Amino acid sequence: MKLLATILVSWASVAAYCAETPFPVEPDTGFAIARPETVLQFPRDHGSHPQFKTEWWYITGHLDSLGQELGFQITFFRSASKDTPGSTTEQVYLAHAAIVDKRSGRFIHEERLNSDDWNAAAKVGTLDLYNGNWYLKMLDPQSEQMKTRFSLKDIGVLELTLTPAKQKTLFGEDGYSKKGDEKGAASHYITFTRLKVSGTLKNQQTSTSVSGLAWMDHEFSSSQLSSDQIGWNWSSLILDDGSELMAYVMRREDGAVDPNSRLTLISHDGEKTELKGSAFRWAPLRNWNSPHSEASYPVEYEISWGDRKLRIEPFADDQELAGSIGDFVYWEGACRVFDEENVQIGIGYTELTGYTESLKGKF
Amino acid sequence: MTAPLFASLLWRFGIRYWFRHWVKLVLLVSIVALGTGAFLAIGLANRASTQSFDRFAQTVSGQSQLVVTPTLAELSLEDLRNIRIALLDTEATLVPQIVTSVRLNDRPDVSDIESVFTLVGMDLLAASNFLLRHDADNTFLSTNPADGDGPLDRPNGVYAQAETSAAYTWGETSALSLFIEDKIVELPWIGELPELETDQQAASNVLIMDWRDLSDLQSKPLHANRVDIVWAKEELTDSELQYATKQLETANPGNWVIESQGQRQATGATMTLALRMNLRALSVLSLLVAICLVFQAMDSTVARRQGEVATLHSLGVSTKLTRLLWFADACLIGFLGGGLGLIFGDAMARVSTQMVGQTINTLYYNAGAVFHQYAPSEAALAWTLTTVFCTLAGWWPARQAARAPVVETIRQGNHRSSYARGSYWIAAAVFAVLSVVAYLIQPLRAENGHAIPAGGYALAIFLIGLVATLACLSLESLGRFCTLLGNRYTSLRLALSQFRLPVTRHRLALAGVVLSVGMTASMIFLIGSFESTVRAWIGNTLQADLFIRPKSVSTSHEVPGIDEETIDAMRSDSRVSDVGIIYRTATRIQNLPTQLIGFDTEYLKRIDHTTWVNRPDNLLDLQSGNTATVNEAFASRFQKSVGDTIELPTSDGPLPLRIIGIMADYGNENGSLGIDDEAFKRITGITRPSAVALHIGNSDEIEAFAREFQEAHPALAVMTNRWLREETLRIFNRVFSITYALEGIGLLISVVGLGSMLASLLIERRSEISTLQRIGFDVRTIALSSLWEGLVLAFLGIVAGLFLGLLLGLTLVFIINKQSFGWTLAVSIPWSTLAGLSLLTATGASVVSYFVGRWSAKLPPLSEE
Repeated sequence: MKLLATILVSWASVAAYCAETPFPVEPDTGFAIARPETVLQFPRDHGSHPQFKTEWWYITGHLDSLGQELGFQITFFRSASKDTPGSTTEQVYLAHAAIVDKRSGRFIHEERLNSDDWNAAAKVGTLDLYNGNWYLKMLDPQSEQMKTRFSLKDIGVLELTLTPAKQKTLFGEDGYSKKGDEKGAASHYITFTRLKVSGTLKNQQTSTSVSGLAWMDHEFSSSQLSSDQIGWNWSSLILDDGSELMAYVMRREDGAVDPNSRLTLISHDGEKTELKGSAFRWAPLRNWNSPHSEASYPVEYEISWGDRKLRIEPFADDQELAGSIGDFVYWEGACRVFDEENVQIGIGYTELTGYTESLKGKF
Repeated sequence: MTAPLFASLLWRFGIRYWFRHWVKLVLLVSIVALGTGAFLAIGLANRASTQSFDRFAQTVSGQSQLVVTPTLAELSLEDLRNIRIALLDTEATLVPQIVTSVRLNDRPDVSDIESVFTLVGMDLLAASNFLLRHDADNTFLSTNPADGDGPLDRPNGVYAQAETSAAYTWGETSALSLFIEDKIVELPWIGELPELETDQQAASNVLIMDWRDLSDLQSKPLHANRVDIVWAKEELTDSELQYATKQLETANPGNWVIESQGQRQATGATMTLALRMNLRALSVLSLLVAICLVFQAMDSTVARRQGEVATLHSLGVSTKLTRLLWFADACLIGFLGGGLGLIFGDAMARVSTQMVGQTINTLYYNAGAVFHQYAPSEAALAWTLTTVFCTLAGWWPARQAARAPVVETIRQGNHRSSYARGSYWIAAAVFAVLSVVAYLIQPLRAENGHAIPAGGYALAIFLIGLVATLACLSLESLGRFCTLLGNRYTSLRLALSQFRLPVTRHRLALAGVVLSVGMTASMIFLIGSFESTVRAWIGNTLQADLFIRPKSVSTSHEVPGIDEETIDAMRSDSRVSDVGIIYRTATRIQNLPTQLIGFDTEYLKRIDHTTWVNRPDNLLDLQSGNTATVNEAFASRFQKSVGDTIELPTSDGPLPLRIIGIMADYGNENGSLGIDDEAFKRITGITRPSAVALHIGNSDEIEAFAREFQEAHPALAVMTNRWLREETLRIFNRVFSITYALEGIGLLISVVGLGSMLASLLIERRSEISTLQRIGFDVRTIALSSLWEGLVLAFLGIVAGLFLGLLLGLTLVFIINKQSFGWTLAVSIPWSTLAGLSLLTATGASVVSYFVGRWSAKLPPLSEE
């Protein structure tokens, strides 16, 4: 009788779990993988997905304040691991924050690593997460307005309200973004491509109002990279005409570009046009050699498709996040966008990964 | 009066005099220095003991601004998350810590005290974020870059300060063998602690490890004993601190105590307040006796230099100026004595700090090492007090000097200062009335609940004044005895004749002896009463055959526990006839630190080993979970009695407990609250008892059982009944060792003062001594006369001192001790110790008096006019 009761309770628990999540775990790994035709629901899927190995909430933006032009990045990573598929999952939270002074080129970044015991957490079902005293939360699920707060030593505290200027974009097929040919080499990818930013930059002496534009990505996956991929180049461009562009190039070990790379154009009214890897070109124009990691990053490059060709140039070359805590080094920099006539038509952020070592197995 | 005239006279009249009499100056300055030194040494020791409180907490993060501690037991992860969330909008860094104490297992080369370390479990990941941000030279993540996994992956690794690691020769291959809880564990030494550039001195006896590992070693879920909340200097503002405090108060579910670091230090300080106050009072004794000597020396100088003063007056120097000159003299002695005392104090503090530290560790479950550190403010206080007291001590003689009748003095020579008996009677009456008033003063209540026996201290001071005054009055009566001796005992008659017209210095020396003997006798009285009470208490309480507790050390944060399986094994051993277990943890009642005890109620009733002040009608009522017993200190501190209700803060809200009994124990003044062990476990979540009492069915098997058990559990201390009785008394004596040292200094000063007084009088009597020598008195007879004079004075001082000691002892037992600690003591007079004290004082006085007499008799005779 006792055994029967136990079986019934266990069955009920599993059934309840499966009913409430569209992200079933793989029995061989104990983690869920991104699957096509998964219907994402909001605000639930703004929140954390601990069934997946990797998840990030990525905000990059541009701020104007009294006489200052700043680029900023605040990223919250969640990384899960378990010894065996059936064992308890251990969650680790990493966060990166960076500020670049676009005029002077001064770049400051910090990072945080915390376990989920007490000093870091991400809620399931709603966007509410923190790592130390850096946090990001959704203030209102209707308007999807968000707030983030983070600080950098020698700069101060940035307290920013992020209000969507257009509806969120689900990249790929309804948010299923394929990154490679192998099973599970994909992520669920939700983005606010244009967020109006307002807030303050505070330090002990002053409190300055800031405003600007930002981009926010939310991705979760368990094995984004295929075994032959070593990293990616990623561009998020906010153009002055009200449109946006997102491009990622998945780089393979042999130097070739993976055909699963994508370029997506988001029109003024939010309509999405997606180009496959063969339909666009991401070409380096100038490399910068990092004195910190000795990596060589293509910090200036061209993106061309159809009859369009945009040149992207960094505000500063040294925007490398040389991790002291996390074990990966990458370049994440504020940049500006020039058209064919060399006229600046927008701003953006570029991310260059896998230039110091292959990221295979890490994402 | 002009400054140049004052300076000129000061040089000619004062400084030049002291240059000529430099031996006397050196003696006087040294005595004052000894008094100042004793006062300063206790001040420094007290300060060190309070500053060592919590010092471990700043080892990694620097000084915290706020500290959150649990009202009971531990902070859970849920608590930590709530604290984190409450402070998200601040720049505060949170440093949760598990604080425990460990003892080195295999280091016979280090002393007992040096083998105890505070082991702090920290979230090394979070700490590394903090260190990285604040440009520390390394973090917990990068001490070994060659190790790809990082040191956090090395389980149970321990960090120590660079200096400590060097001192204990810990290196890369070292493993520290430590007693933790009821286990001996081997923990690898990983490296030196990262250092921050802060002006705070971190404690050296701190080991750091990851809190997850430490929780596992303690067999507990992840928890913290405290959370330090730290702001970097450049990020801290008053408004942010206020906001953070408010946020925490709002989020507080009722089981957190939120304190500023200042309040926390104050909490630590109040835990030892009564002990430190009593030590401070004792140290003032040395200073007071030394000041008496300054008074005496100034008086002697005035008496000897009245001719000079008269000459100055006849030359037109005003009395105001001569008074100022005397003041300057006294001030100079105070200044020099105080200055030298700062050096003495530093040397003495090195010893006293250890002694006070040891006492506090024993009494208050504090395992922190107490380090001597010179404190300029303490030194300034001691120096200023000495200078001011010395200047005041010069006031009366200065007045006398200024009043010296010019013509009389020049005609008759120096007269020997003395005061009218009437003024002594008036003083005695005033002291008597003030004593009665002081007796009626109710104790003051400090914010921390402790009673401050202000009336008791005042009563002690007035009693000293009363008895010393009465002793001085009886001095003249002694002079009358010389007529009873007829022509016999020449030396004794000669000595007694000096008391027919005693001078002020006689009275001061007598007062010095009365004061030091009285204070010492009172402490002997108190300690004797205490010891006899404790012996009786031990006899009643220690009824089991064996007592078992972990060898690791209890602290105010964590009490090590014994594994439940070990307890079960004891119970199932056929040789064991009964088992009593006790649980203990720190808690806060009315936000004040105290102890919560979990009793095995059945055992308590079965064995009945408790000394009850108010016995519960039915002890088994404790099992209801809503009743409690308290000890005397608790009842006194919280002003509770049987039938009253107190609220115990728990994670489910305050739990009202009705007091059903009051027991006597002699822990510390913070008190303890006892509840049934089942309720204890339910409320605190603590399931590991802190001590076990075992009864062995066959007494012949006790030794064998103890030996076997010890071999099987090397991390547990297995104590036999006899050993524990002896150990308890040893601890008891250790607690009072500092008081013996202070009394010793007081006695030494008083005996030296007696010698100094005799020397000054004999110098004045040189013409008399010359005459005696001419009529056939030899050196021995004169020396004997001096011996008798000193001995008689000492005898009177001893008798009066013993009487004073009795009065002060009663005041200590029934007023000061009762109000400070809440302990009821049975009066017991240790006659042999008091006899020893009397003999010691008399012998000291005799030796000093005899040799001073010999010395004076050998001085060249004064030339005849």
